Amino acid sequence: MTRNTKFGIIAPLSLHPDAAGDLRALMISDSASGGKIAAFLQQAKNDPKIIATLLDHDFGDDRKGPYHVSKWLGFWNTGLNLWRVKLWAFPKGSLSYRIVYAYQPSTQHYHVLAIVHRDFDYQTDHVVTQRILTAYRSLGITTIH
Amino acid sequence: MQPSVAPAGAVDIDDLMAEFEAVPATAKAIAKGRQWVAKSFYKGSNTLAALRLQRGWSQVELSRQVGTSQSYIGRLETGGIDPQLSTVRKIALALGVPVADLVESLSPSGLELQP
Repeated sequence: MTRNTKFGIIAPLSLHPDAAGDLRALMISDSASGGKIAAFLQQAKNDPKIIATLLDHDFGDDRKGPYHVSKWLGFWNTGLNLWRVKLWAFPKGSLSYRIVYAYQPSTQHYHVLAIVHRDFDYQTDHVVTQRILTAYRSLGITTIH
Repeated sequence: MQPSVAPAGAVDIDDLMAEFEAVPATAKAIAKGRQWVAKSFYKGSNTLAALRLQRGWSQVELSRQVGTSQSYIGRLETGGIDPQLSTVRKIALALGVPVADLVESLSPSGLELQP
């Protein structure tokens, strides 16, 4: 359920089981990065100001904010409501993971679909991309266009 | 807007955090992650959320320390309620800050999303 607050509605955020698996694996392989990503996601759920920015394409570009939000344009342009956020960390490049998520406008629900390494370059035929698309389609989100 | 229901098998981040915090090694990483969130996203802020995150605490942990519910802490952090002085005193004691500082912190305007 969404929660009404004095400063707006806090939309719900949950992790697809695949993304939860990614985060569990990251907590084993690189707990420092995993801890930051997990803490960010929990605070995004708690803070309407953070979660509102997750639909603001190019928010934080050039390190103007603490993270950079971007549509996954290759799929966005075909009607899929897919996004990714890159958290800036110091020293530069010390946080090597991105969060891929979908947004369901009808319920204002954010679905985290994957935590991917920065080496992942969003190729459409990549096995991780295919996994993300399968997860996205399971959500039944209406296309944008 | 349709009522939001998480899809079957979806994992709530709070449940996943509880899982991580049950293991000492990952609990430490989570606490450090929260401190990083405080430093990166609430720079120079003294909001209740910032004070809590600086200690590496979840809303659940703060609510446990104070003897209230997580939802109450959540509403306090977003300015949804006006707490009693006795509650403010308990929270200040738990966080180790003066009551006057906490009263100021209950105005949730400190998120530093822009430089």
